[in-house]
Amino acid sequence: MDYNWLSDCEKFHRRDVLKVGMLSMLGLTLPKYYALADAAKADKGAKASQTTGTADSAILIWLAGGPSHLDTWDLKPDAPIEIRGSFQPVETNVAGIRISEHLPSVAKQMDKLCLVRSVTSPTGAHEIGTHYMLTGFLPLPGFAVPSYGAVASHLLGPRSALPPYISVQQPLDEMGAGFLGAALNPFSPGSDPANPNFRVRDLDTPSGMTVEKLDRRRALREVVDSAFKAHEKGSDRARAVDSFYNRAYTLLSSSEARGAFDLKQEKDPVRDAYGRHTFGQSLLLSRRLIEAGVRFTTVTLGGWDNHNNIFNVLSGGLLPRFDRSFAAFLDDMGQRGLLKRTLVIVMGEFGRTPIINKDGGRDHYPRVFSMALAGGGITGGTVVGGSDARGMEPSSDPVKPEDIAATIYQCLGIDYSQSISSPEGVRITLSRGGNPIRKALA
Amino acid sequence: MSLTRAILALALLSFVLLAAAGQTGRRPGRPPARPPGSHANLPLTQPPAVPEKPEFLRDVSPILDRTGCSTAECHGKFGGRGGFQLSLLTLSPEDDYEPIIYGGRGRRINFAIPEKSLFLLKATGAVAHPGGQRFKTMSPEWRTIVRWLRNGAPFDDKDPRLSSFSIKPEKVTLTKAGAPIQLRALAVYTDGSTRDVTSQTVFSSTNDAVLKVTRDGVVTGRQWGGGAVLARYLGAIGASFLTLPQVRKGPYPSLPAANLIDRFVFDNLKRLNVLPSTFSTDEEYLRRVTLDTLGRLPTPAEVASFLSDHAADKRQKLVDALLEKPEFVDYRTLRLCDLLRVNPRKFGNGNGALSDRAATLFYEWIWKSVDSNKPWDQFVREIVTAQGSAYQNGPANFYRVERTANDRMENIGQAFLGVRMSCARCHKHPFDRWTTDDYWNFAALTGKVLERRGRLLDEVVITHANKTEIRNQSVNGKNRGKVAPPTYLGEKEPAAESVDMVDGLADWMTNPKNRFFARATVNRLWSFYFAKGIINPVDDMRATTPESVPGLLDALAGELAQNRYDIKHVIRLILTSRTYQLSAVPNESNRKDDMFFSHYVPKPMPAPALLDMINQAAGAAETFGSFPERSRAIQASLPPSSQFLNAFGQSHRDFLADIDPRLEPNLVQTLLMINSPYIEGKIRSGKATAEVVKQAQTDEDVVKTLYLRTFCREPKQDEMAKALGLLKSEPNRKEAAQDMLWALLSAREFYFNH
Repeated sequence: MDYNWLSDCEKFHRRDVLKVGMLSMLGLTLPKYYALADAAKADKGAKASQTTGTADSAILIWLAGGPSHLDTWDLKPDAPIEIRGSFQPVETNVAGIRISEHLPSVAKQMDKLCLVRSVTSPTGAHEIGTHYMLTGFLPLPGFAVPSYGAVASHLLGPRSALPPYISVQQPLDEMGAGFLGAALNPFSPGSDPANPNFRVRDLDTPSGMTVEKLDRRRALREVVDSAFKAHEKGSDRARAVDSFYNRAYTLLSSSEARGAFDLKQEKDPVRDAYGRHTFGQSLLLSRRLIEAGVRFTTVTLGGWDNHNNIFNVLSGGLLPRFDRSFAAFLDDMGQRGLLKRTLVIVMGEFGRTPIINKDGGRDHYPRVFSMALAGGGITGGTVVGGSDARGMEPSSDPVKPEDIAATIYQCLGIDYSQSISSPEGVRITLSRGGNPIRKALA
Repeated sequence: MSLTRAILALALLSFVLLAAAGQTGRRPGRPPARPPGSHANLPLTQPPAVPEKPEFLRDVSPILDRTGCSTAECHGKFGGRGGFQLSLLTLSPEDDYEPIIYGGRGRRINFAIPEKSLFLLKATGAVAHPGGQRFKTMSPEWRTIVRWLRNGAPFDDKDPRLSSFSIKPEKVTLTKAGAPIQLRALAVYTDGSTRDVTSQTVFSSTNDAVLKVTRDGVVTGRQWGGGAVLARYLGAIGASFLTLPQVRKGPYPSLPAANLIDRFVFDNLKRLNVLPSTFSTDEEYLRRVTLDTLGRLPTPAEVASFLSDHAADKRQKLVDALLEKPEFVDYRTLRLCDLLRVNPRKFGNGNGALSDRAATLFYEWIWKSVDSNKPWDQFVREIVTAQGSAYQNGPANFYRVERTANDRMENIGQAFLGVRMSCARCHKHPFDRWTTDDYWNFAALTGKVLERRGRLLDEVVITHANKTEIRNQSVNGKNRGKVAPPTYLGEKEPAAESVDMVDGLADWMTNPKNRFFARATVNRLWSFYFAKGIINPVDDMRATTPESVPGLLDALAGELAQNRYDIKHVIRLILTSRTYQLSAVPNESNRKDDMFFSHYVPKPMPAPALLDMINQAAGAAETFGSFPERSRAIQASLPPSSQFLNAFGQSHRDFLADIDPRLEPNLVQTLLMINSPYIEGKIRSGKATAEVVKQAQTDEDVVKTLYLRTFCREPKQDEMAKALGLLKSEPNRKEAAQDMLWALLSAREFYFNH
């Protein structure tokens, strides 16, 4: 257990107040609390014994806008100038694999990464591509398909008192639970982790609370709610609301769970290494959440829709930022042993046109693009597939979004050929005809 | 398990049953036909040997379905598996001949040595087959197919087609749990012949908890309740509706009926031998019916006045009064805006003042229509036939929500007719009767609605053009690519030419003889008040979905049509029925009932109404959207941007699936209620506690008043005693009042309408 944060006197005090308050509140419902904990334990056991996955959790790093494959993971130094652009490839710590010169720190972590250079999708529209990549499905009319994180939470359940699916920034619609229902939508902290006063919505007790007040309120609630128990037998929803109260109390009373959101518990050098900006601190928060038992998190870094002036934009800010934060993240995850059981996915909705346009930019290009994988179940230091000499078509091992879906689900121990049902009774197969990317898997 | 989920589990179930049945699988033979009506409880006749002259449709195709070859997981999926595609669930068996015989350049069939056909080697697992072994070599299935191939794989236009399919008996009341009943599947063909095809039919139960059905159509009741057994044969779907009464000692009481609703509901409960809950108290009823009509809590004064009224008909009078209040108009308008998806992002240029203007125009039109209690047929007619600029004519925006002929048709189907057509866009609907022709020919009517540009920015003018045609765009229907003849849903003949075919569509929809319109309307109304339709889902009322209360839907639909489509008349019938007035507390007999309306079911309030309830109870003010001053969330003409409303599932009116707001509780909601600065702010700075403390003489008064403001009842003795005991430790009475209010707002009795 990490005790460092206890040195923070103020925080310790606040937590302590809450904890004492919670415990005496729990005195009223202790049997219920234990029953809940036991049920969770039994459930976990059952799931674990069924699990054949290579990862317990996943972090999806979403590069919104469609990052250029030719300037990040899949450079074409031998192509004509109007294709290869101005970036040079550099060697990585894996012989034979070269990536962009503006990813020098990531190059030193290449042994942890698997690059898939042959992703292909039919759609060059942001909304549709995003939907396809984040769910494994093209949008279905009138029908909201759940995202990977929601499906994983639905089928695997929570690992701790924390919500199973957390979107560190405000989630995109395509990251939602769709027809699985609002309960499985990602929980979102609702503020910027890079903000010095970063706090999670509704997890901190409102100011002015005392132990006595908390106790009194919860005891009062027990009193006024007790008459409603007569309704429970006839209503699933009445029971569900009760279980949510218990889960909320568990979360609020677990200083460990709540502490996962507290970035101040990280030492300054670590926070600096990740970068003191939204993306860096979001990755750090993701690491903390996964460590504390969250099933699935998403982190978004936008700015990749470079129709103009792509080389200056990428080299002038975006790539260096991504490079440092992502490398620090891989390093930290590796050192803490978290990579062993955490799948990391880095991707965007499509790649960009090989031929540079008149504005010095690249436009949308879905026929071939790249993504990166790391962690639980992934063979590091590898490249799967490739694009042709001009970065126009997959040259081998084409990978469809359905294959990405199959890979993510398989790593998490979820049978990707099973189907799930919407409340209306429409069934969808998790990966419609896809196969895991075998060459990426350990 | 929900009904439709079970229906859709059909494909999987057939696998399971197949595995369970193992080698005892019935032969796909030709059992002798039996006259209808003589089927119950007959022993299963042995099917004859493999037919002499197997036919493709009647003998070979059912094998593909029944052994699981054509499921969505296998060759039934789009693109097939391993290059071999069959029609999904053998729904259009005629289409399967081609891929079997000629597909893969004929490599699947070996006419010289039929036994060596790849088709059979795969199915028997003799060569590698990801789908495993579907049947064994020398099994009746295998022998039927070999004999058919040996005869040259005959299939021509003269082969008899299926003309009707039914399950006998159609309605069954089971006598006791565990006693099996044999269902029979009866097919009638185009040549007039009939067959008992039980052994070739795929059966499934819509309610596994209540009904178990075997592969051979033997159904057993497990516990009291009701459901249907569905059967599929050559693309046709049949159903048998079954109920199993409860075993219960003691006589069945006589239940007085307040109106026709109770006659149907109580008769059904009597048939099921289930006792309804007791009658609600006056406090319960007042809170329930006020929330349901006005979207707000009754005030303490309204509670006092209702309780002191001793008139026998005070509940009827209350309902009459509630339905005339302006808040009723606001609340019903909110629901209609969700149904019609009044969403600025769909209108104008999707963003900006003109879009808001269009949405507000549509809103105002709906509000005025509700306020004048415009007959529902007229309301829908004005929407369906709306023409002109969407910036000037509110209802014309309906055709801005969906922009293509077939999407508009689907929208009309789900919103007004209770029919979900989307499956049939590409292939025959697997669980309903609709074909791709039904889909595209119906869409040909909405195809007569055109848009042209107006002179303002992104202005759209809706017009009608009788000449416009649309083509059938199904994936593999036989009429793919042909012009779709405009045809009303479920009609065999195309619609008669009329001056304006869109007007014709409205005439057809709102005709009292229409099979869908009035039923869908009353089912939707019912589901709002009872949190569940008589048929569910309310926008997908299939012919094969059992009505939970037989006869009730037709009776209510008749009431609506006979009373000039007066919506308030039906609402009044519902709210004054004894069924609606039953308590939400279940008894031993009815606690498992979630479909027969034997007790009221606690339901979450729609997000805007819940927020209004909280503000009302706490005396807090809030503004919404562009409303300048204090207002109520249900009055916002457009969905306001609000963390609370989003967390509690307000409809965003984006997708067809959004037309019913999500009412499922979740953790974010709970955290927001019990631990957020937002709610805490309302508790502390709302006027309620200050007022209460000012007027209260004692702690007792504080507790009593706050109970009235939230639960709309006085606390019971023990509640009062316990609360006072806990509040003693807080010397500051305002603080004590805030703690009490927090507890009440966080409790389920506040959250639910019960």
